[in-house]
Amino acid sequence: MLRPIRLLLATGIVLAVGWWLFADTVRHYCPLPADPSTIRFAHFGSYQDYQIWGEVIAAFERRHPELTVRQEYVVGMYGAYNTKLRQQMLSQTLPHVFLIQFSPFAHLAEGFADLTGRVADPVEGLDLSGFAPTAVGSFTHQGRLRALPVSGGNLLIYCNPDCFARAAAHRGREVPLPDDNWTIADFRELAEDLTCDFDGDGQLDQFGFWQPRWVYYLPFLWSFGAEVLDESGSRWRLVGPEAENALRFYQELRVGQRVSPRPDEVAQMFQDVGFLTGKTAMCVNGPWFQPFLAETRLGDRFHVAHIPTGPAGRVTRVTWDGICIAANLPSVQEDNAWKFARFVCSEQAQRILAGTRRALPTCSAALSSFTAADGGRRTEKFVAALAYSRTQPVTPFFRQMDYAINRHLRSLLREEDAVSPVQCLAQLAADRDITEHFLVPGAEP
Amino acid sequence: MTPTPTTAVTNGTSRCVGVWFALPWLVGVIGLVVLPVVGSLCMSLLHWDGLSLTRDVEWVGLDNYREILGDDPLFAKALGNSLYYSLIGTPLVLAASLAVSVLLSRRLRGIGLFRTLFYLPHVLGGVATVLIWSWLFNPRFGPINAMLGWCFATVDPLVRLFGAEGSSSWPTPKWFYSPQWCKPALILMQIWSFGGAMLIFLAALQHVPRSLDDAAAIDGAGRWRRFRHVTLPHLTPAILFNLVTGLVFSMQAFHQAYLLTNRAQDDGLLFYVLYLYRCAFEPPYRVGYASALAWIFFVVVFVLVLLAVWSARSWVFYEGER
Repeated sequence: MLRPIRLLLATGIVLAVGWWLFADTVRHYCPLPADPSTIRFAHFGSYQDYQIWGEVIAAFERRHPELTVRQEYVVGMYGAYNTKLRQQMLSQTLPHVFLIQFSPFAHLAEGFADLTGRVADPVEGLDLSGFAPTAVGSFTHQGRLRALPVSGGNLLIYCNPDCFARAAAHRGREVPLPDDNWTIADFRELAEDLTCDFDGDGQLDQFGFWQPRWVYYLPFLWSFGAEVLDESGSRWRLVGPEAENALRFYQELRVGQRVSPRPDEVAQMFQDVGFLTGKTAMCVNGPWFQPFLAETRLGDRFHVAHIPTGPAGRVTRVTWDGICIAANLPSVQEDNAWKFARFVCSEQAQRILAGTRRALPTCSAALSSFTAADGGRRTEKFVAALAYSRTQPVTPFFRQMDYAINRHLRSLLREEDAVSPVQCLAQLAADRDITEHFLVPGAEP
Repeated sequence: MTPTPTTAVTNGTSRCVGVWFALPWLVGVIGLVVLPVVGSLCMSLLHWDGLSLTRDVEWVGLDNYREILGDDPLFAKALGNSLYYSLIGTPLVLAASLAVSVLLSRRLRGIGLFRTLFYLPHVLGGVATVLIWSWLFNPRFGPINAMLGWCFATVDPLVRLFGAEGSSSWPTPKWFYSPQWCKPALILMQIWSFGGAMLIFLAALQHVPRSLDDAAAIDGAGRWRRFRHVTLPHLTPAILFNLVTGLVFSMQAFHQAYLLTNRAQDDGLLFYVLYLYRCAFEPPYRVGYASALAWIFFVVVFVLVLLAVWSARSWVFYEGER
């Protein structure tokens, strides 16, 4: 009697452990038939993005009542989202439709469906002629369109008027907000005026400018005439006197002029907090900063200025987010996914996205919704800046490049034994992360 | 005596039953220790991102090791940081915990409360305490620098007496925002949570024979001499245990550095395990390289432990040994 019970118990345990260990694998290789009327859509961002995309999805479902969109939202930083996408790609569990940023796009593009044919379809296609050319170009990988550009933003300079008022009171003269035609020299002078030690204790209480990381510094770098990569994204171009001048300016912001705070002076703050609390009077940011600021005590009182003109003119960086469809979906699911992706690029959805001021719509017909949100007071600056905005060249090795540049810019800003801009550029050009992935001038191929 | 057939069968059955009982553990050891160790050794010979089984896998032999030892400045930096933290921090923790445990071994009213209070930080360890410490060490608004500033201001007249400029203008440390001060700050944090070592010392102190202490006192030995020549030798096995575990755990320090690292430190808190993690789990995902780093780390920690155990021959006293 005891033996059969023992046998039964042992079999039960083995089966339970087997189920626990292998159920997911079995489900992965023998999946239940998916409901083709449900579209999985993944995106990143803050809770505001979640709300905006909720509105877009609701509008889509009203238009296509036979379809349902399941919103898969990754909270917080883009890094976590990109990592998740990558893992989903490898485990073949990618959502049907998903948002992608420009910087990781090139690295992952092979895993996305080719949309070139879909766009060109005379019936179910999409007319991209009204879209920002830089946006369409951003998502063309090896001649094939792998994502539809959805929204984006360019970098301008935000000014905190409270800081300007405090600096004016401290200096006993007017410290005016920058005008549209200001230059790098004006910027330098204004940043100095805004940097103040109010209580005379020898410690600076307010700084002129929050020193940006290199991606947000690109407008200045380009305005000095420097480049990071060539247009193909394969050749290293951060060399020469223009790059030296750009880096010298970057270094002087903190070390020479002292208009930017050292990390210990803004301990446990990041750019957004530094700006809205008035620790720094100016910072570089994109349109997505507007709804964030509107919810702070600064409310609607901030000012947006164009990028100052440098020796090589005025340039700023624009970046676009795209919407992709996972490769190798069953045809019905891909058709439904395409319906949603196309809807996101329609004027109706673009107006919903633009109305929040978080991002510029790629479809020019919806730009009026973007500017209407604040009566054009600041939003029109972003639209006007599109005329001098450019994208950074696409590279699949963006993260490696990002790490290397950040690492070497740190050595430029050290308080003791800081390297010179010339040394910094030379060390960067010799860095393994750069030499392994890019053709560096003067280096052996 | 020749075993009867019945005894042999019983032995065989009990051996079989023994194996069955040990099986869950054996499966665990093989599946979770032996196979990962062998896997990690194999991975250290590959160039692999750790994610895709079908692409980007390349056999590179010992190239990862060669690159780490010959061509990676961050390896030396990370190893140096970990050794600094471990070799300076661990003895300080031992000294602090020993001193406090000696105080707490006295029979006083409410000693249980004091023991609990000193042990609490060890229980509280984790992300929250690290973040609290980061606020305490805030160079501009933190209470530690405020206290230092107050101390400097207090001794200012005294310093001026000697003709110096005065101490009120002395700069306070930038702690986690300085390459020089970030590791000392972390060591101070480490000392705060000495409760684990303290508990072991307290237990060891209960086993120091009272008779020896009394005999030494009768012979005229003072408190310090009794501690030095009677108590301390009896504590040496506990010291060795705390030293070895302290060295191993501090070499493996990760979450403190992960949470507190910033650009101002100039890689001052780039500990070995943090560097290993970054290589493996952050783009460009060099899992093979990280595996090689792990093996080198294993050798370094192994050598450290060996040195500690080997040196123990000359300073650890076991009761009953001559």
